[in-house]
Amino acid sequence: MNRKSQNIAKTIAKVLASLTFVVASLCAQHSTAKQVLTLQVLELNKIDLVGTNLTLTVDAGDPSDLFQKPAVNTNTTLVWTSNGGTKKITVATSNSSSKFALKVSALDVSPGAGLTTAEVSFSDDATRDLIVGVGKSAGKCQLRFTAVANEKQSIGADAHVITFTITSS
Amino acid sequence: MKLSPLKYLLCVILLLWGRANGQFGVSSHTMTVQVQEITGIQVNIGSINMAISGADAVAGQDDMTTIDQSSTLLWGINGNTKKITVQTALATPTFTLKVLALTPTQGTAAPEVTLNTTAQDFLLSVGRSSGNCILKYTGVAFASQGTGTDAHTITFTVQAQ
Repeated sequence: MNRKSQNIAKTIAKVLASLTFVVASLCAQHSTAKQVLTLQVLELNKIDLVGTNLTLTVDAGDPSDLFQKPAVNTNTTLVWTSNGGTKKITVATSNSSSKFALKVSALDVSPGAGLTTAEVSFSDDATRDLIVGVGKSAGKCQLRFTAVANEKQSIGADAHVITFTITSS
Repeated sequence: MKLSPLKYLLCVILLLWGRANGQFGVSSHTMTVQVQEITGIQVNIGSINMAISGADAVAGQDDMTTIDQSSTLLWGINGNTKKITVQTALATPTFTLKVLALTPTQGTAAPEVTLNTTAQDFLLSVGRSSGNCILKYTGVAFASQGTGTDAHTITFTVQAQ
């Protein structure tokens, strides 16, 4: 190789050697990250009973008011949560031909959670309104069950399965 | 003088041998390697859906919640101590959305954040490291709020602490 070629080679070597290699990220720098999140709330209607199974016993009580004293129970609380349009709560018994009279009413309904109707008598298994005007709310009420018997009825027992339902008005 | 093929080949060999043994002498050079500050952050799932339904409600309770822990936040930092902030682009959501860093491999999780359009601390004292954490999202709705859908674009940002 002649001197000219040597000089060219040396020059190239110097140029290459003097380069500063900057170690940058192999991918572009990202100081932010994004995520799309969709939160959807669906219509829901939940209802439940707080209390145990009940037994109402009509007994003689004071002889002066024989068969005049009904059996009353207020140990059960009805609770509900609804976020849809205006609803109502209905009640029905499974016993279509009970021997003794049974009634139910809603007491102390949570303010703004609904309006109580008149006392419901279970004369058959038809569904009847118990609380109306149930809006988007969580509420509760006390259930008052009343059992009545008269002297013309013999002894016996009626079994009921009471069902409460939130439904559209 | 005309060289025979053998002698010609011998000369070439000698020439190359000479070059291989530093015929041009010794040369040294300076090389500089510079490492700049690098910051990387990403979420492993680009889009998630959360829903509050009857399964999330308790009769008699006004508030209902749902939780998602399906996504992971990952980062790589080689600079000074950083923090990671979080915010949403949704200015007026109907429902409440919260986020919390679970089991971060580096740094310290800030208290659970209720998302709004202001950047809030999410993860603190993140040093030179690569790490990850689980994103725990909690959606909260009240019965009185009715039904609906909130669409969030959530931004995580690495910045100086």
